[in-house]
Amino acid sequence: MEDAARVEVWVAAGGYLAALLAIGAWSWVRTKSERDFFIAGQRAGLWATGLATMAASFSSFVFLGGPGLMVRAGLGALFIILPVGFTAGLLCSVVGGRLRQLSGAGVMTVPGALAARFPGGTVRGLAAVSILLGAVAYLGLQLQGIAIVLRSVLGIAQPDLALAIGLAVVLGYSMTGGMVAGLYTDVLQGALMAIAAVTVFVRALQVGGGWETITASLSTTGDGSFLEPAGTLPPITVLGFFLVFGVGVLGQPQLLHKFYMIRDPSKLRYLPLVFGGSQIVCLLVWLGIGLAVPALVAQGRLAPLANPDHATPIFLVEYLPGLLAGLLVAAILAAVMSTADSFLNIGAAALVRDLPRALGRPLADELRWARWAVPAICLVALLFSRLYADLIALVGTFAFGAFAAALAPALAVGLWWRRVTSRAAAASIFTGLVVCVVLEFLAKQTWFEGLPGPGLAPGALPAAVALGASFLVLFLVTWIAPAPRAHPA
Amino acid sequence: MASSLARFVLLCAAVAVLVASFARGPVSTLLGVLAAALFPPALLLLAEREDARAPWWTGLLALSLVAGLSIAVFWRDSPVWAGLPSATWLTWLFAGMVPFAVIVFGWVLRRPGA
Repeated sequence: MEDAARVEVWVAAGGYLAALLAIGAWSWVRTKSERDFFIAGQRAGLWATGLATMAASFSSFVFLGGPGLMVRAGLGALFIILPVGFTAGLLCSVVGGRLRQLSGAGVMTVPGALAARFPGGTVRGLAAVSILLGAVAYLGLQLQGIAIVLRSVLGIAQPDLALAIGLAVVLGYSMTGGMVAGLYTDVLQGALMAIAAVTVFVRALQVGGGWETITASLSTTGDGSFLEPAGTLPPITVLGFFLVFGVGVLGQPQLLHKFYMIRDPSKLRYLPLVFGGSQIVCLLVWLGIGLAVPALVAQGRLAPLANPDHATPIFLVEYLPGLLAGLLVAAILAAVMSTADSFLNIGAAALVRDLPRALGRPLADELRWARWAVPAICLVALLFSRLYADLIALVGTFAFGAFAAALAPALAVGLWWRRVTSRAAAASIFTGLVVCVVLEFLAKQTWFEGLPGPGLAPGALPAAVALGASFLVLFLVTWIAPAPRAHPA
Repeated sequence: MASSLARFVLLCAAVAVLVASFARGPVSTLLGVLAAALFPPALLLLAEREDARAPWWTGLLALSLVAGLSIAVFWRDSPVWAGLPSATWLTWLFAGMVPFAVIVFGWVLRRPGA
């Protein structure tokens, strides 16, 4: 990238980071209670909630990992985003309304909602532990994304310095402004991501020579399966993607948390249009870069990529003019940071609110403790990102799947079926979390030679198995246990 | 009734996921298709039991997803139609676009109070 273009990128990225810090400072004076810090005072409108939910749902996974996976696996990677047609409706219909109802009883977190439905500390504690583990994995993923962008686009040679800049900004506004800052930065970030996605999609089609030329180029790559619906992936893998991302959305606390913030619950009816519609617009970046970069390689205009996760940075550096490159860099940072601040917030809530309450020892000043929990969680995520290096999309699938398997059955079925007991919900959360982590560990570990593999069919996703097992355990334990005589739900 | 049906489908789908993840062959793939396609409509049916129209639109959603995912994994074609294989377009249509329309008409535009 030329120096002049790099200056434009720095100006765009710097301006964006400064805007975030300004929002953080503005939010500082408006954050006076735990309610402000955790659920933004429950003052958000429909558009703010929809855009903030979209921004929290899309991270470096969409801007870096998605195109990267498509370069490697063809159109099969799109099975991760294909369910977007119904996931927004599913989320609002199955859990959104229920969670919003519970917020009237002083509930501010997902484990809190589960505690209101399943009395006793076990379910709340297990849910909090799941959220903490998943939040660390997701934050680690975002840190990987920040490092890739700052290093390969902005030319920061030292990865630690790149990481430190991004961390400082996220920590700055997350610690000071809590979810008030998180909400309004998410709105700014969501709008920025949507604008960048459309612009980059159009540019990607132009650079690739148009839709027909791109697909003609791709049909000649490899064995010609790139353009088939499942791409180069086995059927069981794409079905696993569809299941985990289609159903697992119900267990994503960073999205569910947003339902507590909407001022008027009757607006939930229209949230799928705003949330789902903005998601579809934003996903154009995945499709555009994911098609254009391998087409450019097939046309001989771009060297094959050493690391598929670099597809977006390379496209940005090689084919986007300075201002547009700056917009995309700001959008990627927005995607990363909007997700990071959500996870910092819900991780802090799990650590200082839900875990102590599950243990019967609530903290006296949760707001102060929450502010200090944020950097502590960040530090652990930093360690995770150093230890677990893989394609961004695959780390994202693990983190998404862990939430899905642990929380989706207890929330989606447990909030509606009166017969589900605390014991069944706890068994389901425990099963989902343990199966997901153990299978993922067995599939990836290289330290212990004597350990067996996960024993799955080739291409089967550990997260899908964990999700199926978690649902099955919920049903079996519910049917085996005697039906409760009275129920609060 | 709708809730019982939804719970039964969810149970079967959960078992199907496990079988499909450990076994191999076309029957295993078919079970994977059914599980992935039936989970979302069954969950919607469970939540929308007070809406008398829910069995219809969740049923339509299930049919569309079964069609889209079956085409994706069982139909491999080489002819390129409008730049992409026809199986790819049909997969995107039935597993992506029709569900969005069904959700909009089934849930967003449902009767007030349902």
